[in-house]
Amino acid sequence: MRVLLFFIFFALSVSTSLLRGQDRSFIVNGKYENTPFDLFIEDIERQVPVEFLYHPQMADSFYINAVFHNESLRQALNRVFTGTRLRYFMNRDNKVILTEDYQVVSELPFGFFDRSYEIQGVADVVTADFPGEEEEKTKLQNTLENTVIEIGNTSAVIDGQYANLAGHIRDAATGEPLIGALIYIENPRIGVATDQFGYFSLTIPKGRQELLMQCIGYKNTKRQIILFGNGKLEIDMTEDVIPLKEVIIESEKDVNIAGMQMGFDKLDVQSMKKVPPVLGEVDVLKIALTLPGVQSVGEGANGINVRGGTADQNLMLINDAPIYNPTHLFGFFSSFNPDVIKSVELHKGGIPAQYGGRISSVFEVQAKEGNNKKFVGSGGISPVTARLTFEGPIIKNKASYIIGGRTTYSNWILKQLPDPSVKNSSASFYDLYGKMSYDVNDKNTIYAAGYYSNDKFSFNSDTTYGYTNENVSLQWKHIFNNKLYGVFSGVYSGYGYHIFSKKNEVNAFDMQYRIKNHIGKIDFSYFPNSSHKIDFGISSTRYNLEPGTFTPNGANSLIDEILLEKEQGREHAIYLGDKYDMNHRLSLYLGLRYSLYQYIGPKTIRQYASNGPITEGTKTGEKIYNDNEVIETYHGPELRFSARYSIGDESSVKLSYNKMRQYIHMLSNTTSISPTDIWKLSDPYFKPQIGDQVSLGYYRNFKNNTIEGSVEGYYKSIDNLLDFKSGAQLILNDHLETDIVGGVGKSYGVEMLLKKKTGKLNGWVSYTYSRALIQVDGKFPGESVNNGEFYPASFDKPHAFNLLSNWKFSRRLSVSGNLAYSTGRPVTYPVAKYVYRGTERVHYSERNQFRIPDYFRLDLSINIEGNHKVKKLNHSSWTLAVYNITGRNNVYSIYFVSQDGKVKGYQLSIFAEAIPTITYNFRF
Amino acid sequence: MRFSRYILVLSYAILIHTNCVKEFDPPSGGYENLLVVEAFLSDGNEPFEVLLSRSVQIDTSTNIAETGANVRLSEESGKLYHLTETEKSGRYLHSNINARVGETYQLHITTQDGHQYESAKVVMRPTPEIDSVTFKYEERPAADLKGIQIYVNTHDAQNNTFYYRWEWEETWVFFTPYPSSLVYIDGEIYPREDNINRCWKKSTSTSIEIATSKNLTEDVISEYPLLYVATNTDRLGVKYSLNVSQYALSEKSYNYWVELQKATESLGTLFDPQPSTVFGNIYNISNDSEVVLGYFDASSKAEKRIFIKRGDLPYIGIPNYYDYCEDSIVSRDMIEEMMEDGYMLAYETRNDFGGIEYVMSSNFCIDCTLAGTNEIPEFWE
Repeated sequence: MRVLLFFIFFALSVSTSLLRGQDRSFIVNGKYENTPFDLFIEDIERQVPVEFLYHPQMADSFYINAVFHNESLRQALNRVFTGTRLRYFMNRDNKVILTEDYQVVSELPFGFFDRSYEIQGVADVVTADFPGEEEEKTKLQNTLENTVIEIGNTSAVIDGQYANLAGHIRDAATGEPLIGALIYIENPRIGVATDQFGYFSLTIPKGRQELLMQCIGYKNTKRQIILFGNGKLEIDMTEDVIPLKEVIIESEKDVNIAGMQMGFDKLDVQSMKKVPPVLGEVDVLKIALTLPGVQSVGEGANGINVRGGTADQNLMLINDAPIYNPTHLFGFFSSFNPDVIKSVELHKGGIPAQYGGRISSVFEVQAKEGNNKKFVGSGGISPVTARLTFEGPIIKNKASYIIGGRTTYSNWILKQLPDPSVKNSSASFYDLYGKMSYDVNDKNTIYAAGYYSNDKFSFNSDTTYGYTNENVSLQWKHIFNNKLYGVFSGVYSGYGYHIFSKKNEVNAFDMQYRIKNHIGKIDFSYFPNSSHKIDFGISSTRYNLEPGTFTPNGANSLIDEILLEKEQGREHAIYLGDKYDMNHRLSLYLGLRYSLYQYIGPKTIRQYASNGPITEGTKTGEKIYNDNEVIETYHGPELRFSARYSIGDESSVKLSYNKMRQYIHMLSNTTSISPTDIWKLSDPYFKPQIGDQVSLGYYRNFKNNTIEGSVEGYYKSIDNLLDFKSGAQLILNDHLETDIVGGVGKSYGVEMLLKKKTGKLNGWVSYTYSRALIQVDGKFPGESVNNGEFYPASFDKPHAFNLLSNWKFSRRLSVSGNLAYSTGRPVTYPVAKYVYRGTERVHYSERNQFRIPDYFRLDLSINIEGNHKVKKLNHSSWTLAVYNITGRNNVYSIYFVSQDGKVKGYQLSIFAEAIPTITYNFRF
Repeated sequence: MRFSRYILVLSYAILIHTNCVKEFDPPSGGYENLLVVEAFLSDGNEPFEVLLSRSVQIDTSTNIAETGANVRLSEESGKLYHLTETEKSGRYLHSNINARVGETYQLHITTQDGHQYESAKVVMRPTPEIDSVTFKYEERPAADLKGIQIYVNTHDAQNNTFYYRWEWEETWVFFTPYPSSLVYIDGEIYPREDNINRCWKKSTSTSIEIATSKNLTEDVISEYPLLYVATNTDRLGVKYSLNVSQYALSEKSYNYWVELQKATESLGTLFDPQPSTVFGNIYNISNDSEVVLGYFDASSKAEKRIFIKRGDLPYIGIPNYYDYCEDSIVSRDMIEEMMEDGYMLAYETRNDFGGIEYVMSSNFCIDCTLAGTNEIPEFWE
């Protein structure tokens, strides 16, 4: 073997010396004064038959001042690069590869064979210099993959110690950072995943290493390095747009098993686009519902329920800004435009310490960053909406923007319909998203992002409803050194709704509700060595609520103005989390978050008799608090813990516990979220909700990690859950404490998931058994629900089965199917009928004791891609989808109405027929 | 382009029509056998009536009367009235209570099995007069209806009422196409003395009609939409009358009606509140957790009647319920046979040769009392 290698290297060195001989014949001339680097390169390329390959970022703000008179190219480049960080390497194809800080060498350094490190992939180095007839890009990629890169101070001794390597992994085409890309070495097995900025910090043994990179949707790549000391490495990965070749993942440890995460799902936009769309729209919330442990009350219901939590217990984030109403059109569409989403992460359990404020889950939408290389656009047309997104560089390779909008033309279509019942209704929405990112230099990056969504509708009546989400975030990321970076963020997030009516002049009104919050936070990530990753930071949130104004609309209105007192609160948190890989089998995560919340003035607080129920009758007085005076303080630690133990290479066991505290609550006495639900801050009477969850899971991969399997069980308890007394009035109520009762919740379940990510047939299948129960046992009469016993929550669906699969027939044609089954949800059913004043009426007693029929739905879609010519001006695709193809009449709710003196029972279905849609998508 | 627009509109049409509501026969859930008390005390000379019954299973239609109970009404001034049951019907009456506004009343019930119930003490509230009952021709494209919307306007100059409830009774006149001047009894023909050509139908409110002026600066109810009379019935065919009764409510009784409305009349939208128990103001003395259905309330009553003639309305098509009616002209010996087939004598006529023949038509086309009453209502004008 050694002999063979020696022979190969001998051949290689011969060939490179030949190359050098050739180089001497390249003579360059020229005079350059403050010439931008790229112009200089262009000029050289005109003179001699060489081609330069380099990352344009290297050449930024690099100006050439030199005079060449019949000098060899080599001499000229040596002069130009002396004293800079640039190095060059020329291969036998007359390609000059420029690198930063490190030298590409085609021979191994002297004494390399004496090292005790195993030599891997060396043979590849040889093939690199004999490229086939592939595309330019692939050639560059191959060259990059197989040339050896020296990192660190080359004079340092390779002493068997560790050194740190940090950098970013980006998309080669757009420059966008890749989140969750894996970078690792095989021996010893050390690897990390990139964070939300595409940043990695890897501490590995010095010496010859092969770095392997892997990311969903991207071609695997690798780099040959010799690590002399701490250094940086920027890596580009090429998108695997339509898999022209099968991606073969070989013996690579997978995140499922090796990762710490449990109760965690990540959906990238590529896989989301394969799911049959609802009404032609790719909808992240609907797709999330196919994951185990995620439920909703029913189709078209607003919000999701994660592991038995209510809809307001999910922290929904876009660019670190919370979203209060995540849907359009009363729940039919999510308010996230699929064209600007990169991926979605859902933490159902084992929630890391940097997140807080909601007790059930974190639903984080990772929005795209603009393409920093060229201007591109994309869009689509579906029966309901039209979308358009533009992105491009502001400063090439350094600053980029993306702006995307979506609107519905439902109003126009409603008018086209002959049916009078819809002609007089209106429903419209739009959303806008924009983000700018700017790499000031290799240490500093600035991000600015904004989001706005608006909905307006009226149903054949005079009352118009509207609601708006808005948020802005500014972030500055600073890399202190290879091992430490910090992100400084300022976020504003707002939500409000508006209802007005003008039909009857006397009663014409205008009602508004608003919530605003400002968040300032600093998050640090510290990578002290290869076995620790430490996150720590602080955050501070200010809440301002305008709980309602009700004012006359017009001069003739007699409406008595109601202006509810504003509410203020602040929430501070500090956290520290350490992920510690004890050995290659055992990893631990220990996190602690301490949150402190204060409800502050100005505010008038009602006082009630201390030994009785809180009712209007027991009110004893009022207490007035001044500006910024602290009315109530709540605080407490939130422990987060996870552990992973690998059993062999193919399976692992994970355990996690987390405690969460929530200080802002949505109040709703409807079954699903309605746009007029209000949010309430914790105050002396509204205690913070506290959630505790413990989960245990077993993870196993099959068939060379192409199939991931997991079984996770969890138990969760919730304290201070809110429920309402019969007849509670929530809107425009300035004494909500008299209408609520506190309860406890408990939920538990087992989630089973099998996932196949690659191959012609891919997708996942999941089965979940879960229960979500609530207990409201008040101390006083009328404060208990169902006699104070546990009863099922409205989204308690014990059995849930989901199958989502995609079959690629060819590169251009794929078919996807989605099958969903669940137990029918519980509803409150009448227990008696009686006649009162000539009319039959029903009587309800215990809550949620009856179930509607089981839910079943099958959707199919066909995706047809346009042709794959790379140079084609416009890439397009069509999606033909049929939602609910069996036309099953799934019952959403059952209700009883007294009509013409008789009680009649009705069942409401949202989509009772198969709904075909066509969506056209394009990129340019 | 035309094609793609067609597709768009088509998918929308499907989308909108799939949001579907279907009537279904409810299976029985659990069952609670509860006492139902209907008791409303008004001033004036009307007898005070209390109806007692038991709730039944959701899938049954019979009503169970609560008979043999002892029902009393007490006045705060100390008077006690015993109500008497009419023939084991669950109807308990007293016709001599001169109830007065401002007086406090309480209802006491002892059921046959010995359970004792009591209502909260209720003060009889004064009800302001109805200012006007108005109507407007309005189209309802959503339901594909045309017709008139009737509104109530009222106010309390004392700013003291705030909560209102209404009931209504509508009466309308209609005619059969064939007047009958003859009656056939046992083979003989006599002139008819009663009028069975003109009749009246009536119907009363079944839904809860309540409103509040609490959120206004003045105690005014402006154009409360009481009911919609569509042109898809014969109501507006000739002349229509509506009598509106208005009752003042206390805040508590208003809340009771609101809750009852929410629980039993909301339309099943996505955002309907969770249905829950509606608590009234009648309790079992020894078990306050027993639910008693119903609310005892007392107030004076204000009434207003309006008439709407066909001529008050724009030209509107009214369905003719007698479209199918045809006459048959028969000889005298055919009358008996025809009557066996459900025909009736209208009037006599002469044929081309001067002979007497009889115009007959189906019962329904002659006798309006089969659909209404031919007694002239006392208020009819």
